[in-house]
Amino acid sequence: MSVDVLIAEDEPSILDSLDFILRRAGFSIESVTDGDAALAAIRRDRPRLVVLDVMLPKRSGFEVLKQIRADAVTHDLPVMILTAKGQAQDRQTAEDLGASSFITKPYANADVVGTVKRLLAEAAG
Amino acid sequence: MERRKLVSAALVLTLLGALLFMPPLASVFQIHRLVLGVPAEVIYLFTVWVLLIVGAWWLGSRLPRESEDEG
Amino acid sequence: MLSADLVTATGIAYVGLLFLIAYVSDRQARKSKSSFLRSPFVYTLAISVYCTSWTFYGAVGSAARNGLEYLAIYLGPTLVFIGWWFVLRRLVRISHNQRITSIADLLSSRFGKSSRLAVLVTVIAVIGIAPYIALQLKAVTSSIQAISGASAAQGTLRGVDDVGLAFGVAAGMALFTVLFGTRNVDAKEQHHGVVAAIAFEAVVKLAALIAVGLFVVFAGGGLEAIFSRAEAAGVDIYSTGTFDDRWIAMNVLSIAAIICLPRQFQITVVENSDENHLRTAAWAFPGYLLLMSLFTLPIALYGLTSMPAGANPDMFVLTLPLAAGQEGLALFAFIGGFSSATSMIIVESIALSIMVSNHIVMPLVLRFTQGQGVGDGRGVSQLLLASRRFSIALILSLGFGYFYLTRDSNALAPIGLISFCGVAQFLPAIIAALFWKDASLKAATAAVAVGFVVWAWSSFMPSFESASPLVAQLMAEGPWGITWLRPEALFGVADIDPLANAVFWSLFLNTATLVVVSLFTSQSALERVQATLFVDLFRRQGPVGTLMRGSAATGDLQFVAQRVLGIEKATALFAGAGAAAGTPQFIDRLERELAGSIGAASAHVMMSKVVAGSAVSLEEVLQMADETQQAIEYSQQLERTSSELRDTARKLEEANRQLRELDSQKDEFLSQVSHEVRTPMTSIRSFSEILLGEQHLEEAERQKFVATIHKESLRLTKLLDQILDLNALERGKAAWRNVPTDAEAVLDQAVEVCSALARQRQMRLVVDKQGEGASIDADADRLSQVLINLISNAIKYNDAPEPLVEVRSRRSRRHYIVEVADNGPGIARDERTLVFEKFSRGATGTTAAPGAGLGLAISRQIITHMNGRLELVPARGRGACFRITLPLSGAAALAE
Repeated sequence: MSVDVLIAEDEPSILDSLDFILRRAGFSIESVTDGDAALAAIRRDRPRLVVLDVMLPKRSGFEVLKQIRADAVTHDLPVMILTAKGQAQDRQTAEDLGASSFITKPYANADVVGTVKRLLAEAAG
Repeated sequence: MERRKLVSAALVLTLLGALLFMPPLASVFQIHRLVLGVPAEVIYLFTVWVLLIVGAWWLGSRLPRESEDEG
Repeated sequence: MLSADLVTATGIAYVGLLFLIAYVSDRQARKSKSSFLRSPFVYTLAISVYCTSWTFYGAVGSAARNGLEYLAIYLGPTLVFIGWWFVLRRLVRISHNQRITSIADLLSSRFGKSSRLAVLVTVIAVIGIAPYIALQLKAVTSSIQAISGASAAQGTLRGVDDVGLAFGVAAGMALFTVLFGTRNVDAKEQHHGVVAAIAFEAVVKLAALIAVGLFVVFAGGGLEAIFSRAEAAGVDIYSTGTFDDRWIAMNVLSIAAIICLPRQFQITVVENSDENHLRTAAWAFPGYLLLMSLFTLPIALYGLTSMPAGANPDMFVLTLPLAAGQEGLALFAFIGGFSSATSMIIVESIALSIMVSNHIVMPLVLRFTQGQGVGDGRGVSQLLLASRRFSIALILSLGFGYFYLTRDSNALAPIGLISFCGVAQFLPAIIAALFWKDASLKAATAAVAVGFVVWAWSSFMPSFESASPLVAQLMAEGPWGITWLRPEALFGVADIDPLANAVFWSLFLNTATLVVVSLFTSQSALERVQATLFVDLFRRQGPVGTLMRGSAATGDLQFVAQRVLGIEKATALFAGAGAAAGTPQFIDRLERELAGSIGAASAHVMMSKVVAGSAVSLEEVLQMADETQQAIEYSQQLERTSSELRDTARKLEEANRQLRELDSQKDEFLSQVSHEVRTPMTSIRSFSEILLGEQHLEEAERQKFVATIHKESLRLTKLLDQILDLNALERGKAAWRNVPTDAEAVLDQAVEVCSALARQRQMRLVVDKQGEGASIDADADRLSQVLINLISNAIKYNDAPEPLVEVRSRRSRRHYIVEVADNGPGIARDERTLVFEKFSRGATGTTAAPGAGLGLAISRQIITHMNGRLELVPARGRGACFRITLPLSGAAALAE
């Protein structure tokens, strides 16, 4: 089964909401709650896009991103970073590490869905 | 007494002596009367004189020594 | 009447005794440094050289004519000695430091080692003292005549008139003084033998005067009888009008005299061997003066009432005992008077001869010989002695000359006052030298000269009135008929006493000149250096800085030193210096050593000639020395200031560091709060949008979302509560009351609350209470809050297969201890200190905590408020173990 979007988020309620809105938008979803699991899922299930929280247990979102970019196979995988800190410094780090997009919590659902759509379109195009 | 006060006392003693020996204070005792058979102003001058000597004697040994000089 | 031969023989024998005393004392002084001769009492007695035959004879005459007025001559010196700390001490200290040999040397040294000023001061002193010497000659002459009376016509004195007698006395004195005072040239100009003889004379004159005084009181039937008899005889015993302008003028003069008279300066300052002797002299010398003047008034009054009219009151001391047939007492009194006169003449002429030879003869010789070729090594030494002897002869000749010219005036006292007024002209310059750094050489020279001229005009010249018709005419009409220049009524002020007139105008114009000229002239480099040395006397530490720089061959230096100091002394000096001879320090020391013999100015000229190159650049060098001194003072000041600044800066830095730390903590805290708030906000917003936007939601889903929103808002509220709570705790604002509390009861309550949660999670909660009856000072609700937090954390985060939470309590001697242990994942070693920080959750997620991470921080704050400790201790096995340690009630008080 192909996975459109992998969500890595440790807050259960946020994970629930992301899962709901992206499914509603028509994507197939897989979700994990820590960094290690995220990397494992990416290798195993080859999602077309990853929604990555920064503050993940075991391995932070930035570390996961770094691994993704370091691996030739996943090098071009679109990654959308989610963070509750929202500081300029985090945004910079994300950009430097090669994040495709950066969204601050709390987010508007439409933004998340719109960004995912745009990134997937770009990847396809 | 501490040294500064002693030095002040020495200065006051000197100035007081000068004042007591000069008019108008000295003239106060020109009363044309004998005291103990001696004119009052004579008794006055010699008494002040003796008191100054006693004062200088008292201060002499108490004023600071060389090693405690200022500076 | 006593025979003139007996009197003469007695006088000569007495002089012989003095010579013996001086000789023995000199040898004694050489042998030991701490003999009786150097005691403060000998010093004090020597100072009483102030009491001359003027005191001995003249004071009685003065008292007979002017009542109490004579006392002014002793009250001034009394005040100066009472205030020794302020002037005399400085003079003595400076003179020791600078090797000052005379008052001329003092002023010269202070004002840039000026030889011109030294010459001026010397000339004025010699002229000014001449009347005073004349007074002694007159007194001795009169006393010999008075005591031998009619018999003067017989014996060796037959046919000798008073002029001849005075000449004989002067010649004898000159010879005596030469023998006494110029046997050697001492570097310090100290004459121990002379001082001893003078001290002996002081005892003799005091004893004689008191003997006469007691005799008079006894003969007169007591003080009261003497005074009342005098009053009955029409004598003004109450000294009406004594305390007037003349009284003040005389006091001022005697204050000046005790400082400025060359002989007083010689004894008080130059001959002083120990500054602390002043402490004794401060009261002993005024005491001596008091004793000396105690019987003056009774003697004068008794003389006025018992002696025939026309008897010379100046000689009452002699004539009263004679009239009563007390010839022995009269002879003793004569010896006393003779003592007064001889001691004055000896010391005065020694002091003046030092000035004349050091400041006039030596510079002249140096100039004409170019400082070289005075013959062999002992040349200067010999020359010095010769010039001293010549000076003594000169001084006594001048005294005799004055006596000769004024021999017709009768009273002794006015003559003395003329001299006093003359030397008083040095006082403004001396005071300025000691206390005013800006006083300049030009000003001092001008001031002394102005004072001298005014004195010569208003005080010295009038004393020749009887000898010269020209003077008499000047005094009556003024020069060229200018009446406001009449000597005794200067500037038209005619109705004040002539003495007060002279004293006021001379000192006023003198001081005014000093001040004004100082303000408008500048000082040379050397003057500035010396001014600093004098005025900042007690501020300086260590020896005087080197004033002369340059190189000098040791041979040249030794040559100069030998000629001035003598071979023996010079050799010793150079041997002592060793390799240091020739260094600037040594040259400086040598100069001061030489200054002790030939005065500062001469020594300076001499050394300038020897030390190559220094004469050219002296000004520069001195400027440098001065600037160096200033720089040192400035840098010390800077150092003090900068160390204060450093201190302040350190404190500020520390405060700043703390502020920065607090600031970064605040940033960190805000950022964490922001994160913690955003997390529930995210869910709430997201689900609200879903609920708002999606029309086709299943009811179950809708319910679930609303429940999530509700749960997250509760979480948010709790978070905000905790933040406020923590803030209050940290600032100590929370309402807080520690009261004695039953610890076990609180624990029971907390365990009960948590057991529901444990049951829910199917977890074993083991409670082991061993602290029965422990009473602690605590807030029960807060303690319960902490315990619940710890226990519920232990339950919530325990993921063990057989989860277990243990609560153990016990008490030690002073503490109540509770431990909460679990067999959960535990806390990584490097996080153990972090768990109590705000928002710290196991960062790497080993203890994934749904809380905001404020619980432990709050708990620790609470326990701290109860004077206890909350810490993480090593668990027995797997898991974490928190321990609370609280002091038992009373134990806290015990510990404090």
